[in-house]
Amino acid sequence: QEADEQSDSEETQHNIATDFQQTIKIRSRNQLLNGKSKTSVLVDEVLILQGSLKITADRVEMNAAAGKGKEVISAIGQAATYQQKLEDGSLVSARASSIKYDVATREISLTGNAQISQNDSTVSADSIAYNMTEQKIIASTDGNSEKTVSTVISVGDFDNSEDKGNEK
Amino acid sequence: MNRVGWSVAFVFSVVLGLYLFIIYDDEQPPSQTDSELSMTPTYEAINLDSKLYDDEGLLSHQVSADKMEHYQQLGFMVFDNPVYTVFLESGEPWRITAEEGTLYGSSRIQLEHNVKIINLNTTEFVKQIQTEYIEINLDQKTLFSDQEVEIFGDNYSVKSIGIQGNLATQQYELKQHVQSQYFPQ
Repeated sequence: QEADEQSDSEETQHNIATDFQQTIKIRSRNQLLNGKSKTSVLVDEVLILQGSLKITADRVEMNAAAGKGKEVISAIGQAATYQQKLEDGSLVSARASSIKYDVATREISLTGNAQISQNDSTVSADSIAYNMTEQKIIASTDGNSEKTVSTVISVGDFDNSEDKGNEK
Repeated sequence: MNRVGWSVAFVFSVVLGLYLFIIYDDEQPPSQTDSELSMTPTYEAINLDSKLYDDEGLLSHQVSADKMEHYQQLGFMVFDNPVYTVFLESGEPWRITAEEGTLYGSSRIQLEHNVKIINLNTTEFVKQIQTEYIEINLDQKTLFSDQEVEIFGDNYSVKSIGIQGNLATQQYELKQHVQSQYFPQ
């Protein structure tokens, strides 16, 4: 209980500028830890917190083989969700079938019905890669699907490093 | 002899009988029942240090303890402050310490109070496991606890209620209310 309150209050104090210096806290009902491969599989109601960064999923694979501070967290779920507070207090949020968070590069990759929103802008695609520190979106679609990237952008919300609406 | 005589004789014999019973009762030492016998250790050892080898003659585990009491009839040994060193085929030993240990047979040990399982191989991912109660099978290198357990590594810790694992394969299942923390670099 106490840990929960502390995390919730921590969450409100932090934002994207300070999040990455915080401890990554992961809560789950069950966990399989493999000391040889340095991996963990966390199952059932998985919640990942790092300051204001919050990822929820049914199942998370944590790979720490690359070493300290280079963990890769793969969150899989009916709809894995991501949310983080920006410096101006607004929220960026996303959902997808799977969300991969690369701790070292501070990038999340959304795959499968991916959608990311901030203020009034929403980007939907099959897969989206988003750099959290630079708030840069690399939107892309799966090669063999007709679906194009649908991007609704208000000026200045997202800095999209690719031309809007191009097809892959 | 008339009625008065008989009653005096009767009272006299009761008093005599009581007197003899009291004396007789003091002299005979109380006989220890079987259960009391089994509650006293068959033998004790102080500053114990012993090594156990497996069928192939390889060192399986080593134990030292301030004191050990062996209860032959009950089939267990009790250790004060045991220090177990468990050796694996790959040679990485684990050191296990606790305030109390009870060994059943030759390989099943229950450890209680301030239990620490330390990986002596410093490059390993899982460095230490801590709990107040754990049961270890020294032959199969498996461990089990239904109490709060904490696992530590270089930059992380995992807390859970209950664990089931294997020190040789290094696979651990953490059962409930699992809270992991990965510290920033």
